[in-house]
Amino acid sequence: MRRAAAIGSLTVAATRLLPALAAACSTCVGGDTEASRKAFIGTTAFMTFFPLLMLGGVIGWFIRRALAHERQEEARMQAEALDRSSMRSDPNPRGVVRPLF
Amino acid sequence: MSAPIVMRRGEILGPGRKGDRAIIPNGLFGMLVFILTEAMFFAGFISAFTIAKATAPVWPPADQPRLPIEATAFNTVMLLLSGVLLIVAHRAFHRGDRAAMRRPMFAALGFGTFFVAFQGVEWIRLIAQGLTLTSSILGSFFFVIVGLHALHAIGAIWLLGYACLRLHRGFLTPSLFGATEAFWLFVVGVWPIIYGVVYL
Repeated sequence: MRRAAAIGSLTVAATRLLPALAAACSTCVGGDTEASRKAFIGTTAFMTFFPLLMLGGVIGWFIRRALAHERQEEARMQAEALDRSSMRSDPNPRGVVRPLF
Repeated sequence: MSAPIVMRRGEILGPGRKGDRAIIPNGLFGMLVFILTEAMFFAGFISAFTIAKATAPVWPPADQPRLPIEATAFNTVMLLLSGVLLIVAHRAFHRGDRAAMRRPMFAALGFGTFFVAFQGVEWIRLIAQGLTLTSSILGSFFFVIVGLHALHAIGAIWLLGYACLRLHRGFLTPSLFGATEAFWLFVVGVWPIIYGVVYL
């Protein structure tokens, strides 16, 4: 009961605070002037392509980062392999203390 | 045998296969998903405002105060400056120079706080002049769009403040810094669009 009253008062408060009618629907209003026609077409195109562009941008960035990451890993592994082979061929590898006697 | 823990720059990212390394920090990824949804939120409001502006017989409404274009332009520069400072901090972070990122990060926080405070003063003036949420369609859109941006800016300032605190204590992780930077740059980047559409 309390909850219903709270929801009811919130609804009343929301409707009282509602601003003037925002006529942003192409089937209700608009399209009667050149400016409004352009606005409807422009915003429709914007709302269609904007999310696709955003997602495309983020996915493209991920792919670029992944490729760069892979290149770094390959370079690191090659450097490690090179290090290991030089250790094998070097009679006195770094870090190995040979006994004097 | 349990899966090894994946780590990057001392940050634990979670269990993974041997040799796994994160491409981007988890915090940054989560923030990017959030930003994508928020960008659509703003796009919807900006589209509705554009149509309302185009269908109105007179714009701006004759009996309403004019928006402070020059003062807000100055405030926009302050916000952009904070974005630039955060990019400077980003470069220092990737060089591993934590000491060099302290100043730009705290300065970015200061400029951001100034922006929100200046907006607050601007709002008080406009309300006193008669522009309210219910006074006209301009007032409704102005307070909803600019108010939403201000809410985002306050959230981003809080996050930036937390990141500054962590930096001060020496525990700023790439995940937290990446998320903070992405959110702040979103707040900075969306503002010139709002300014161009709503104020001009």
